[in-house]
This record gives sequence, C-alpha cells and structure tokens, in this order.
Amino acid sequence: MRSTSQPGRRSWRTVAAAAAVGIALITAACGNVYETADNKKSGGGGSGGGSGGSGSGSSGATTGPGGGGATGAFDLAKTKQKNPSKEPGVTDDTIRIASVVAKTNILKIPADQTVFGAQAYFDMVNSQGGIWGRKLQLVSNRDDQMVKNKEEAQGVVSQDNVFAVAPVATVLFTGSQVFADAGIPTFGWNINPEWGGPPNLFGEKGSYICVTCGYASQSFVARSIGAKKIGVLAYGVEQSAECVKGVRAGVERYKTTEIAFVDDSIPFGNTDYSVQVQKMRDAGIQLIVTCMDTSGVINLAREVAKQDAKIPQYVQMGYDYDLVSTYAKEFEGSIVMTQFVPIESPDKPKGLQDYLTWIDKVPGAKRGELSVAGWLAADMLVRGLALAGPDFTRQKVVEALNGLTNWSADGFTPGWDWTVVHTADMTVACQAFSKVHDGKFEPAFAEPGKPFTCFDNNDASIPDKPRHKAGGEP
Amino acid sequence: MTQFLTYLLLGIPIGCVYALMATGIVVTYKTSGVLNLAFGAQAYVSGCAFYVLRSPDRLGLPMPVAFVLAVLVLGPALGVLLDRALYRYLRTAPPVAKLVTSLGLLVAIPQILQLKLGSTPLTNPPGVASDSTIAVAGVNVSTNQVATMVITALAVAGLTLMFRHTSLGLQMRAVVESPRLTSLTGVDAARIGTIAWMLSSAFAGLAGVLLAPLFSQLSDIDYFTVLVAALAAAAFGRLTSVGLTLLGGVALGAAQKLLDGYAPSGSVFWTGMRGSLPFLSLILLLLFWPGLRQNRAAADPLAGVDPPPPPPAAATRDRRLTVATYAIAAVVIVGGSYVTYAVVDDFWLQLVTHGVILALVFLSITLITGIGGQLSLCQATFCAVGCFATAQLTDRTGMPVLVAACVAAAFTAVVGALVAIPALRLGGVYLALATLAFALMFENVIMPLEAVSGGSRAVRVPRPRFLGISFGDDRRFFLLSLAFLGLASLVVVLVREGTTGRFLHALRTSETAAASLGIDPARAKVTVFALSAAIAGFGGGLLATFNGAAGRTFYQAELNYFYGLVWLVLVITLGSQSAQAAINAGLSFFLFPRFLGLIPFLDQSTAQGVAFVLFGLGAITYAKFPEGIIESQTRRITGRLFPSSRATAEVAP
Repeated sequence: MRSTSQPGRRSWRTVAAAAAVGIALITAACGNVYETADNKKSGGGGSGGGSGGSGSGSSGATTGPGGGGATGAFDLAKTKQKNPSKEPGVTDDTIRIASVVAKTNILKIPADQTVFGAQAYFDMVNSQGGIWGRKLQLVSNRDDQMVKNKEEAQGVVSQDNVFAVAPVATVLFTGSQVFADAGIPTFGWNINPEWGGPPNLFGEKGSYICVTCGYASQSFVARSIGAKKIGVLAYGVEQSAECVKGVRAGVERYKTTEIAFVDDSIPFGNTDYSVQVQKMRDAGIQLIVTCMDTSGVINLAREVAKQDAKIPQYVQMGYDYDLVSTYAKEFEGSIVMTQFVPIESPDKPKGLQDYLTWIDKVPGAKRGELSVAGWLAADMLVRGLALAGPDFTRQKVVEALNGLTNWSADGFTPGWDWTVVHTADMTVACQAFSKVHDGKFEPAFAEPGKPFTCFDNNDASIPDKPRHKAGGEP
Repeated sequence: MTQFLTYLLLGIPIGCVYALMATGIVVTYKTSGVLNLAFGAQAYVSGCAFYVLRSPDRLGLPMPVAFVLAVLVLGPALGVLLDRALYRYLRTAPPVAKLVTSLGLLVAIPQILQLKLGSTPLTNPPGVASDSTIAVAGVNVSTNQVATMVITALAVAGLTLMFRHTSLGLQMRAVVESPRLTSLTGVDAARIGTIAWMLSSAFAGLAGVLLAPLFSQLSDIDYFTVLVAALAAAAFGRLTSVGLTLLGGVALGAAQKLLDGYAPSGSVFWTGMRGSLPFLSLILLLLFWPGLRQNRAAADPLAGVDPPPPPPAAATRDRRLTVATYAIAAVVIVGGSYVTYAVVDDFWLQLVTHGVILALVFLSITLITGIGGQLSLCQATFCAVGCFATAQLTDRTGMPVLVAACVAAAFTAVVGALVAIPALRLGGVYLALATLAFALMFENVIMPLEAVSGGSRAVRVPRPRFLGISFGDDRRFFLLSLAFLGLASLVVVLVREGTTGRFLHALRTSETAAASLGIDPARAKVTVFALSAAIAGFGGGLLATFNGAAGRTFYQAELNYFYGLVWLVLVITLGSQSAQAAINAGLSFFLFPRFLGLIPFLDQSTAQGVAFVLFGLGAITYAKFPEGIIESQTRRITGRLFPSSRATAEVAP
C-alpha cells in the first residue's frame, strides 16, 4: 500500500527541483520598471488617449478675458471668438466632456447629483452662447459602480473623445492615475487622497487632503457651543484612525476643549452604538466628533436620540437636505461644516445666486453638497477654458488654473490657491458652519456678508474673535 | 457590577437580531436541509417590500396591511417559488450542491431587486412599531427593538413546540432526512417540502422587516453581513436547536457589548477582536463544537438502495468535441491575442488583460473545487494575500516583482495549508463556512493593518522587467499575462492528470475506498488547497503589478470577500472542472457585462446587474450540471450530433 504514494513523492521532488531552478533563473533575469505615461503607451495599436494637448505653456492665469487676476474672474461675453482646434473632444460647435460618478454604489451615496450640478453650470454657460464659440456638452456619463473607476477612467481616455472630465465623484478613485497620465483636465468631488499630486486633477475644495493634520475647526465649534468635553468615534480602520489622529492633534494644540471619550475601534458597518452613547453620557460629553461614514453618523445620531442624551454632532460631510429633514430630531443642534457658502446664507455671492437660479432647472437635481461639488467642478473647467484663450488646449487650461491663487467660483468658495493645494494645505483654512434646527440648516458663527470663519494654521491658539471673510476675499 | 449588567442588557437587543437571523438559518436547514446563505437576500426582499408598502412617500399602507403583505404573503410566495423551481429537485442532492444553489441566489436576488428599484436609496426604513423609546431596567430601548425581542422569543418558543410536538414538525424533519422513507409512510414529501419552504421564507420575511430599522438605509450587503455574523449563533445551535441558537445569538450580542464597554480603545489586538468576534466564534465553533461534526453523520438510510444511474449524455465528452475545442481554442487564443495586442484600444486591452489575470486566479477554483471537490469561499482572500505580499516585498526589499510574486505565491501556499489543515476536518458546507469566516477575518483584522495594505496611500508596485524586456507597456504586459495563464493552465492539467489528481478523483468517488488503498486524504487535500492558494496568490501578485499599486482601495474594488463568492458562482456556472471554463469565466467577468452594455436599451449599470443575475442563475444549475451549464449543454449538443460517441468518456481540457 505504501508504494501507492511513491510516484507522488518522486513527482513532487521533481516539481520542487524544477521550481527551484525556475525561480533561480527568474531571479537572475528579473528587474522592475515603474509605470509612467510613456512606458505604458509604447506598444502598437489602439486609439490611445491624448496626453495633454500641444499648448505653448502660456498660462494666462491672471489675464483671462475681462481681466480677473489671480481669482480667475472672466467675462463670458468676451469669449465669443472661435478659432479652429485640433484638441481631443473639441469640434466646431462643441466641447465634449465626460463624467465618471458612482451612480450605483452600495453606500447609496447619490453621487449623480454632482452631474446635475455640472449640467446646471453648463446650461448657464450655453444659454449665453457657450465659450469660444462652442457649447459645452456632457457626452459621456459613466457609472463606475463604485468599484470600476479605473475601467471607466480608461474608457473615458480611450473611447470618449472628450476634452475634459467634469465631474468625477467616486467612492474609490482607482482611476486617478489614468487621468493623471493622460493629462486630461479632471475636476470633481474630492473625498479621496488620490486627488492630491497630479497637476491636472482639481478637487472642488483643493486636491490635497491631510486627515492627520490638527485643524482648528473642531476646537472652534466646541468653544462656540460651550462644549468642554468632546467624544470621538471612529471605525477601527486605518483611514478612521488617521482622522482621529487629526482630531487629537487639533484638540491638543488649541486646548479649547478636552477629549473625554474615544472609541476608535468600532467595527466598520456597526449599527449599534448603545454602549458608546451610554459611556459618553456618563462622561458628560457635550459634542461628538466622528470619523465615520454617513450610515455610522446616522446610526449614532439615532442612538443618541434613543437614549435622550442630547449630544450634538460635528459633521464634516452632512450638508444634505434629505439627511437633516429625514432625521430632524436626531441631528437637532448638530453643526455641519462646508467649504462653500451655505445656501441659507443671507448674503449670497454671485456664484451661489447663479447656482440657485440654474440648479432647479435641471430635472432630478437637488440642492446640496453634491450638486454644489458638480457646479464647482464645472466652474473650474469653464474658468480654465476662458483663461486659456481662444486657442485653448488641455495643457493651457491646466496651466491657467494652476496659476490661480484665489479661485472662489464668484465668491462661492473661500478661495483656493492652486499654486499650493495640489500638494499642501493653504496657510489659512476657512470654513462655513451651519447648525441643524427643526430639520433645516441655519448659518452659524458667521458675520453678515462674511460666511467663512478662518484660522491661520501657524497660530498656536484660536483667537477670541476669529477672522471672518466673504468668499474670494483676499 | 452595575456597568457590567448594563452592557449585558444593551447586548440583548442586538443579540436578538442575531438570534432572529440565526433561527431563520436553522429553520431552513432543519426543514429543507439547505444551509441557505441566500436567507439574507430573501430577508432583503421583504424588507424592501415593507418599505415600499409602508413608507408615506411610497404606497403609505397601514402597518398591519404592509406587514401581512411583506411577511405573510410575499415571504411564503417566494418560498413556494424557490421550492417549485429549485429545491424540490435538490432534496437528495449533496449539501454542497444546495449551498452552491443558495450562493447563486445570494448573487442573483438582490440584483434583480435593484434592477427593479433602481439606485434610489431606501433611507430611514420604517419599523413595525412607532419610533419611540421605553426604559427597561435603566436601559432605553426602542419599541422596534422590543418588538424584535418579543417576536424572536415567541418565534423560538413556537418553533420549538412545532418541531417537538406537532406532526408537521416531525414530518418536516423526516423529509429532510429521507424523502423516500417518509413517502413510504404515507406522507406527501413534496407537500411537506413546500410547506417547509413557505415557513422558512416567511421567517426570512419576518427577519427582513424586523431588522430594517436597524439600518439607516436598506442594503443587501447589510443583511448579508448580519447573516454571516449570525452564522456563529446558528453553529452554536448545531444548526438544529432553535433554543440553543437563541442563546448563542444573545451571548454573541452580549459579548460584543462587553467588548465595546471594556476593550481598550486604540489597541490593534482589541480592534481586531471587536471586528472579528462573530467570525472568530464561527471558526472556533466549527472546529471544536462537537454537535456540528455529529451532523455530518446524518444521511438518508435509503440513499444506497438504488443502483447507480447510467451516465447521462452530458457527463461524457466526445473526443471530437475535445479536438474541436482545442482547435477552436487555438484559433480564438491566437486570433484574440492578436486583436487584443494590435487592434483594440486601451480600454478593451485593459479589460482583456484583467480578464486574463483573473482567469489565472480562477484556475485556483478549478483546482480546489473542480478537481479537489472542496468548496472554498476564500479564494479572493488568497489572491489578496498574494497581492499584498508582492507589494510589500517589492516595496521593502526592492525585490524584482516577478520574483516577489513567486515568493508571495509560496507564502500564500503556506497560508492556504494553514487554513486547510484544521478546516479540512470539517469538509462539505462546514469547510465552506470556515473559509468564509477566514475571508471575513482577513478583511476585518488583517487587511486593514498598515504592514499589510499600507497606510492611507497604496503601496506602489512596479511592472516587471524580464530578460531585459520591460513590461511597463500595457500591450507587452498583456502578452506576459497570457504566458503565465498558459503556464498555470498547464500546471492545473498536470495536477489533474497526475498522481495527486488521481488521488483526488478517487477521494471524490469514495473517501473510504480511497483510504483503504493507502491514499492519505488529508495530505492530498492539503496539497491541492496549498497549490490552489499559490495560484491565487500568484494571480494576486500579477494584479498588483498590473494595477501599479496595492492598497485598501484596490482591495475593496477588486478583492473583497463578496467578490470571492461571485467568482465561485461564475466559475461553477461555466464549469469548475476544466481550465478552459476558468479562462472563459475570467474573460466573461469583465467582457460579458460590456457586451451586454452594447445592447441599445441596456445602459452599462443595468448590463452589469443583468450579468450578475445571469451569473447567479447559472450557478443554481450546479446540482443538475456539476460540470457547468455551458459545458453540459455543449456536450449535450455534441451527443445529439454524434450519437455514437456517448460511450466515450473523457475529461475536459
């Protein structure tokens, strides 16, 4: 009987010897080569994607039609000249644009609202005759289904014949390198660190995200509502852990409050926060800061309400009318941060007024954070086109935008310095705050005409009276 | 002590949620013999139906009406459908075949529903009670939680009484054990089977409606996650005792709350423990809970009375079909490769290359399931192990990426063997559950570690250079992937035709008989498990270098545990026993939805959903066509065309 297994042993000895020889040969013959746009495209066949056009490199960042300086202000009426163009996606009549959003995703984030936001902006521009004699046309709306972003990005570059991508709104931005390599101007909703770095990727609130940096916003909110003790809740995953590091760093630096409760080991997808809320209630927590997704934030709010703990939350991505109206009781008193002027702001800058005028005309569009993100993405593209001039190219658009030191979309955002925010934070960080009351947003901690509250990241403390400013104000 | 009791009390509501789901699994297993992983999907159907019927912005029906329609009408109706269309024909099928069928339904049902409902989120699901709270022993609980606890307790009591003291309960258990023996006593086994499915599906509906308020919005993934966690409670109940299952569920909930209360925050160990408690419990119960292994001994006393059936036409393969397959394959491979290399654009090149690499990974399923006869639900995890090992080796040591992929494959083989050694004691559906628990442990505990998947940014992985040729170019990389796929296919064919393959074939036929011939079952199975893991791991390495980086985003997008289930379903649909089917499956995974998307009235999102539905529905034919529905139909057609060839039995290439 033993002999039955003998062939197997011989066979495996042979296989092992062959494998050893094979590995030795492979080791001797192998090396590495890191991907670049050039070495990826050196093979034959295929239509390929463009790689940045053929512009001269003149940025025009401060000399757009109408002369907007470093804010990128421009006059659409002065962009009527039509010059022939051989740029990808540019025809005699249109500038073709693609979008890639996670329309279907298991988190059920309504990312297609960003497309409606961009469409509203394009409608506005087209109603005035377009730009450089051409209408802006969203010709390709790709749904990356959350996990197929790289595929769809490749599809945009290889198949869609578009000039730019606006908006991109993804849960997982695996296609960032594809867009970066292609040099295609790309604009969108920035919740992914992959936006940072490449000069042709433009997030609506800057491209660089530093989750571990200790910003002043939580400490300011805690001081403003009189919260001496805050609780921090986060999932036990690396992204959340880094966010907690950032919260800790901010609180330790500015010392307006203390962290009296931390749970940064919550299993992702947890639905029951009964113990955490019980402990926070016992610890006298007066404000909760979370590093969790919307589902986690909602479930936490429901538990707080269930236990009648009356602890507000500081929510960094919750400017969503459906959310606060559906969970009005649960989010009562919570503070929501935005990096654009809240819609309820009594003094509406031109950018916000235009948004409100045009967003309601797009079927299916809803006012809120996501459609604002799409609007801002479109604004950057159009502004870049205007600044690039009638002989615009992809490269010129990118360079024009990267020369802007105070892009605010006509006062809608605080003002971003694109010479900095691809790879680093601006020295001064500005945010707007809204308080949830009766299922609605109310502007908070702002001054008339100055919705943004600003903090110098180099300051060691939060001033008693922080600086307030309007969008785009230097 | 007061705090301890408070945490215990807080654990009861969530424990009852686990108990409710687990009881549903036990009821289904007890009354139909199916370890129904699609139970969560069935629950999701009723949860969605209740939402649509009850929500004020939808139909806005009164709660009792919505409840009756969603739980007592839709639930049993779905049960009747499943019984009449599927499970009636599986009553005497092996447990693994039933499990595969439930996996197919798990993939197909939610997709069908989402195609119907669209992408609009179903937020703030209503419950059966008003949205108020009451204080119980100093702990605030919502009325929906109270309803869940009360209904769970009543259901457990009712089911216990039914199984022990009613003739219906006895008949249900008898039908599961031996339908034919039960029929001989004058019981209509078919009718009892239908009633059993109506009961278990109504239970799924009940769970779906009661659990809905737990979530901020309805999602099939959430139901499945709770289901998997609840499997530990079902295992505690030995898949037979509803009382023990209730106890197991409540104990699991209480243990989670105690960990929430007492485990130190920020500790890597405790973070992992909290996330993986249900899965760790499941693994430990599967390995050491004696009642589960006793279950394996249960078998139909009349199972051996019939002579073995004659081999159907589809079970044999005509030599001419094999030759034709080889010829067509050669033309397709050469032609397809040329077109891919020289003609198509970068988009299609990327899809095909991706498919080629995935085909290589799918060969690991061919090896473990098709040849080894074992159902592993963690092949995507093995692929991830190889992917991250390759990334870390190249990043930390500067090792050439192809060498790193080989080392990663060897490492993954060791991991595979370590998983296999204890898990293979279980076999069948329990092995499948153990591998699923391992996949979830990896996803929750190991993958998030910075040392594994990097920090917030992915680990960069270079493209290979071999014999002075750079494969940084996508088209050259495609050819390299094709070469590796050919090599891996050769390995699989050699294993199948070699000693190990013959041993495994003997073991699949009769483990006892094979052991009496001196074949060591454990050694053969561990060997194939390790080799299968190695192939998946090498495929993971190739994926990493193809993608250019490996990190958590990449894992979530390509390698999460649910993908492992879809992969298995797809390979089984197309044929788990041949390398050719694995290659078809790999390419189909990416190309089929794209081709469907070319149909004018299907957008790409819908096409993806339709493709998943078809993949899932294909898998439910496994019991009838274990060689794969496509393969069997090809053979059937060949059999008709060349009737004289039926006697020629041959293994597929």
